Amino acid sequence: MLSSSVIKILIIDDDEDDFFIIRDLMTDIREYNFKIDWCYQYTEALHHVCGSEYDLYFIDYRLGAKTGLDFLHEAIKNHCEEPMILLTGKGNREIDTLAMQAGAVDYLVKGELNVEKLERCIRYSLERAASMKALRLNEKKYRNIFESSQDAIFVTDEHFFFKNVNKAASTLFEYSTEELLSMRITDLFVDEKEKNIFIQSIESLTEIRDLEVQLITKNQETKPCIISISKYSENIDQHYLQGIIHDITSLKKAEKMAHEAQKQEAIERLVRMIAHEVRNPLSNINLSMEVLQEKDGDQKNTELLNIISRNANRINDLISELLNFSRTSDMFRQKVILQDIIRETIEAANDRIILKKINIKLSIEEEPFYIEGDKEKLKIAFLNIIINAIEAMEFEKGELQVNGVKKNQEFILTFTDNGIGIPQENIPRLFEQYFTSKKNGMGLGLSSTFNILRLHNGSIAVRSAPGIGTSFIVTIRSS
Amino acid sequence: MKRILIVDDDKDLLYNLEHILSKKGYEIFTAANGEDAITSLTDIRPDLVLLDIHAGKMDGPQVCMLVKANPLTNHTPVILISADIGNKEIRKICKADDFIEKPFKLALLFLKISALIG
Repeated sequence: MLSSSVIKILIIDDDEDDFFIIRDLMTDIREYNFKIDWCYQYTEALHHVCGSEYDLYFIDYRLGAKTGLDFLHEAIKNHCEEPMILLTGKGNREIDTLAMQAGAVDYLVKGELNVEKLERCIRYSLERAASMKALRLNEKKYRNIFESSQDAIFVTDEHFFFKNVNKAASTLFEYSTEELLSMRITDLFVDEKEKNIFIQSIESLTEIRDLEVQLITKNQETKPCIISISKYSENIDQHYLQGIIHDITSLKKAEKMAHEAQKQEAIERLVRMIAHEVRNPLSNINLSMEVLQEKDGDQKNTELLNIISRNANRINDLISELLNFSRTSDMFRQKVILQDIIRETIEAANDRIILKKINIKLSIEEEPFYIEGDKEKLKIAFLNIIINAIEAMEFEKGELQVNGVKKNQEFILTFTDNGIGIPQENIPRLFEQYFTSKKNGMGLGLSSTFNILRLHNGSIAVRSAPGIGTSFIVTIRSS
Repeated sequence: MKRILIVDDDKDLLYNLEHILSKKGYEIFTAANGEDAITSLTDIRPDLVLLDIHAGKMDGPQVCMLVKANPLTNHTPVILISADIGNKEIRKICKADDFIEKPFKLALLFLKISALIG
């Protein structure tokens, strides 16, 4: 390799004559530009080597108290990457072997030196050092990829024993590297059938791609994984398996949630459709009913008509409760202002308020109170309370007071009516699912409210005096 | 006598409302779908339109928007009838004057009508 740059050479020898001989020989080598230095002190020479100050070193076997082999050992220990050539007085096969083992790239016999030998040795040594360096760099690069990969990478022998694993493998399965290296990959399988399929597939195919398996960690935790494996052989009789294991726990979780959400959505759509369809004929029944009730004064018929009317109303209430209830499953969180929700809830109840001529009084603190929550669900929660209050009150005499104050990090919302009140024995069961004192209710309203408030860092309490009225006290913490 | 145009593809509803509202003293006209409603609008010149959101060939909201867009008729109040709570946004979009949900109490309907036309 012709080089136009200067090659710095250090000759480490306690005999200056050796230095002159070599230097003179080197001047006849036209292919390179050399800068040649001489050093006879062991420690100082080591210093130069550790500082990577030269491109090539000639080291004499005799270095005073120590030998060239000692020097080689220490230089290698200090990560010397430049080529070192050992010089000896006599050719000695033993020293040859020792020199190469110690890390010398070549060795030369001083008595047999000539220009060609020297040139060839230097050329070979420099080339070899360069390719070793490139190899080491490459190895480092790939080892880096191997180790820093987030997926488990491994090599096993043909009997499935781990030969090589990266850090991710250790982390994933919670075993140390040493522990893994004494295990078989098949030990990690949870399901016997899956394991057999795996083994059979390896035997019949040269590679497996993206096989979904259940693997188990040291702490007995089952993890869904995807494994890809390929076979390779180094010799006729040495076969290996190499592969990657990808943990898909989070993927599976996301899949499941999406599936649940889809199911929920389908149910909600169905419920909405049914409700819609039922409400149309129900409306017609009611209207015809109201006409009949007005016309007919006969008491017997009146009672029958009342029965029809009551039951039609019951059906409607059931539909409403069902609609509201089916919506409680998925939460859609965003930043909302509590005052807006209260206002919109009252708007939604407006028809009932007008119809029963309820007098509604609002006293809510104006400063916006922010919470993190699902607006529609909260509206349902409050609506249930208001509807209950309206139904408890008498036509034209009802008074509904809605108060809202902020206290520390909480907002306290009170709904007070002057309705019929709740008997003491019912109060503990008030928020139970399916508990209702209504003849035509399913008992889902207040339990829905309770759940929704719970999901929003809130709580609800009730105080009631039969014949006087009821108060619902809702507390919500800010986001 | 005030005139009310009722637009609904449900024949039973039309029958009931026509019967009930006539007794209340209104002159009732009916249309079974949106298209017919639009055609008869300029002939009848109703004082109020009761419009079902699902009204056959032409969608309720579409009819409402047409009524409100036409300078000859845009002063006419429209009450939207619907079976589904979720449609409050539709009312705002097509600029209906009020909204009533099925099944409704007659008293409520009367209140809403008299609030708009007396």
